[in-house]
Amino acid sequence: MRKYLTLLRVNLEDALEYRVEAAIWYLYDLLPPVVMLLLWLAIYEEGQGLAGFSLVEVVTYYLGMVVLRSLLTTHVEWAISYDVRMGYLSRYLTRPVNVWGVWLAGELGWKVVRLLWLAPTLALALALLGPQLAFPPLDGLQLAGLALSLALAFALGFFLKLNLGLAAFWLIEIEGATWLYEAAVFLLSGAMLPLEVLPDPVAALARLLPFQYLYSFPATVLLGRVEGGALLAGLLGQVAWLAAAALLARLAWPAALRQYEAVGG
Amino acid sequence: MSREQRKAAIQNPKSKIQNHAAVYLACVRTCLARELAFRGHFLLLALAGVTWTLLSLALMAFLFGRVTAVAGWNLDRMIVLTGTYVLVVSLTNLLFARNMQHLSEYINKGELDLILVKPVNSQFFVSTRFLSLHELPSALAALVYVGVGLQRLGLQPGPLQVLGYAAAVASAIVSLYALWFMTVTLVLWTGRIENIAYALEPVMDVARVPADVFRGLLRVLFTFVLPVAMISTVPSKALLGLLEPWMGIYAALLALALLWASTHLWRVGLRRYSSASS
Repeated sequence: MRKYLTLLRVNLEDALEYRVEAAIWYLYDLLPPVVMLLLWLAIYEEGQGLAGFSLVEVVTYYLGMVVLRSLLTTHVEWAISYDVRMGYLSRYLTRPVNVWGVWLAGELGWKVVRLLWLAPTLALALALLGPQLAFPPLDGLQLAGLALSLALAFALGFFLKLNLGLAAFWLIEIEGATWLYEAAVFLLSGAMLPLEVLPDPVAALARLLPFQYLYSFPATVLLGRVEGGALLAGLLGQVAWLAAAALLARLAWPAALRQYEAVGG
Repeated sequence: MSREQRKAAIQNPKSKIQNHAAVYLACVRTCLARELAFRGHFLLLALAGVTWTLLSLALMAFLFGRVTAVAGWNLDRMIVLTGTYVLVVSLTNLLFARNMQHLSEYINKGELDLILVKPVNSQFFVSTRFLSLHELPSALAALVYVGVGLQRLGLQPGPLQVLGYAAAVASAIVSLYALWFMTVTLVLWTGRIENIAYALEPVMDVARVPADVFRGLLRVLFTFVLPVAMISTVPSKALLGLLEPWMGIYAALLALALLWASTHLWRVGLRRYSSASS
């Protein structure tokens, strides 16, 4: 365990060196939800409602999206494809550490640095929008469910991206595959529009796929829209997809290592 | 032009413009050859681009299918606006994205030397060397959107409106290029920022929605300072016959001012450049 704490510290120090870079990546998580929020505000200003959302709920939803995108999204596929392309993976394979643990520590380091930018923006938003924000009173069970759904969403995102990264062992260049993954997240995860706004067939598709568990489900828990059996069913859905993604990665890993050629390593 | 003619045009140009045109053509040819050599990669990127183009429309169609109009924009007008957004962004990426990524690497690593010694305008060369031809299908799809939107609106724009649209699209591309080039060039002052070439993309994303949606300070920022309104709102309004003439003139002037500022910044910045490779 201690070696992973050390890894975490090293990765954090490394990420701290890239504060400005982290601010630029933060724009990618910050601006799209904010723009969508401004569009919704214009809709409500003209007296039109949408999909049963109150104005307060919309503001909370999109502000929540900024937080979820910033803190839950990992980009482990970049690290993997970089390590594979450059042959750096050989270094980790020859050391007594779990390579997945190395990648996870790298992601956690970036997330902590992201907090550096998220915290002040969030404080500003709360100060400006304070009266318009009304977090629903969540009971103890819902709060526990929220915490659990956040942890599961992070883990699910990590393992989905891990699988995407493992594709790099075969494809070397995963730019196109990553774009297609991000396309699915864009429409089917609730990142840009709540699933309630999607037309029925698209919403049905979203409910069949794992992407809704990344953002949409934690956000609805935050809004107090699910409780009891529905909350439990959602958490179980997250666990099921997480198990499937982890199993797939576990099965693909030996084959990926056989494929690995240590180019340039 | 035959191979000999091209060579002659580069080596003994009749004019500076002919020289640069010949260099540009040579770059286009090598890019085309490169894309043809990695066909699978090219097709995958083109597919991903077209998928995103479809998503851009889907996003707005789902939202505007449920409301009558927002700030004067109904679904049909939004189809025109989305097409224009995709057109400007994909053409800007086609022409400049890879160049800006390379430029940021040269500056971050101090590898500009081999470019500065070439007998062409250095800003021209670093800005036009590469093309991302896989953006072409997205740009074509965007034109289809604009056509469909106009048809649904029952509009047939006259030659003046089409000309105004083309000019507004060109102004937007020039503005975005200049702004992109300047952000990357700033690294000459700040020191290493590895992802600086990616800083402008999320700002362009704001142009998915009409600028009329913004209020107060944001409206001023996105209309007059950052050319976000120029990307989609101004050209679309020109085509729909809704643009106040002064706004079109402002867009063109802003493009020229930003372009001038970019050349000035490049000249001043290069004086600060200290190579790391020689």
